[in-house]
Amino acid sequence: MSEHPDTRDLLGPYVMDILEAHEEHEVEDHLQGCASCRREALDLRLAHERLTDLARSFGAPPEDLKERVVAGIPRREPRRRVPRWVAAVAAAFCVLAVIGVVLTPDLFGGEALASANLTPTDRAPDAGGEVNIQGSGENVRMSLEAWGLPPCKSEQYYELWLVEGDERVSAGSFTVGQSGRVEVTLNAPTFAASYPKVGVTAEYDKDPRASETKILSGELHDL
Amino acid sequence: MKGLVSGSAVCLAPGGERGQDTVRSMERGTGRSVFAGGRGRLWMDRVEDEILVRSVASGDERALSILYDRYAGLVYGTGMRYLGDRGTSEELVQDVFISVWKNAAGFDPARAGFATWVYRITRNRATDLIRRRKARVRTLDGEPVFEVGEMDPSGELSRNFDVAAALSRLSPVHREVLVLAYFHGFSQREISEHTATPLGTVKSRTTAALRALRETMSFDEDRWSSDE
Repeated sequence: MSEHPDTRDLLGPYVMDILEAHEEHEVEDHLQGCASCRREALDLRLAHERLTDLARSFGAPPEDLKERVVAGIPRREPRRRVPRWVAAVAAAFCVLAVIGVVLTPDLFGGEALASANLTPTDRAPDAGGEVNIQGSGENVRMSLEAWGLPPCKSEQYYELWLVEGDERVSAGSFTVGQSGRVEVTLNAPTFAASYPKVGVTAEYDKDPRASETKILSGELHDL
Repeated sequence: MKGLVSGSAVCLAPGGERGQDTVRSMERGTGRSVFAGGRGRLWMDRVEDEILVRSVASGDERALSILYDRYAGLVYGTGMRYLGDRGTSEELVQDVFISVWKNAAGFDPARAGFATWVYRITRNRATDLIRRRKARVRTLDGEPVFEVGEMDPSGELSRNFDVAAALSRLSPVHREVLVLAYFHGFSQREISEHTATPLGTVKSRTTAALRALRETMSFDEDRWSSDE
């Protein structure tokens, strides 16, 4: 490339269509006889088009929005040294709370909204599971208990989906070890219980859409 | 000029030593900076998203500030496109960044980059807001009076988040020249004056920046495809 450094340096503004007319002619003349610069221009044009799309997609949020976001984030209190007797009392309350949760799960877990029994696909015929949605207002959670799942390979994970027609909304992802069992509680969208179905897929990539590798599915029933 | 000038939000503050001046001047233009500034802020402008998320997980608001600057404009633009009104779009931005704050500790960079993660949050929260609005309409009239299209059927939105991530990974001088050209609408001559750089250097730097962006995009694509 050393024989045409000046022209090559102009390829960026050229694909952006912002060169002076005489520079543009110069570049086009050069491109006719230089395959490597033509390939380079194609590459740069792709970057230019992606950037143009990105810029077009941007909006300008109000100036005070950042301030409102900050005001809305929950503060993390610095840890303080707790007197031993306070810790002992707190521990006792924790034990009582655990007993309470076991005996009356709805009291602490929020209102039970919906549940689904999960049935397997051919990909994992021995798998099964159950999904429960509980909570109220903005605080809705989904509990998943599943078994018989093939252990995750490297980079693989499972994803739980809320399903309605062709729409899939992720409720979270998890991995499974050799036991094939999982018990996990996930934060769910506010309207999670309004979806008619749930499903579990095996995922391998960063594509945010659900993969076609369906493992479990079930219909949600209101409680 | 689009985006950056009118708000302290919107991504991609130009970087570099002169770029930092640009950041400061923009913050002057938009009033006070919400988050703490200073040397830590300048240093963090150059840090990759995934490292910033780790700082967010430990309660660092400055790291959240940088991520907000990089992605809030894209999230807000997504809201305007799919939700259609400013109020709900602002709600979307708030929901997304509060979710980032709350869930940063659970972010796993081995599974997906930050851009993919924030894209998922944005898409899910936008879907949630659409459903909520549909439910309100049903309550009033019995039947929905409008239907909102599927979120990102072509994958364009996902791609935009990936490009934003690639842009944030460029060197400060490369990022600066592209941000000024694409997001501020600066001509090459205006960039030259703004950055006190010879016009010829601006042109060659623009070429080099586009080349670097293309290579970063290719690297990302290769990285993910090799994970499969």
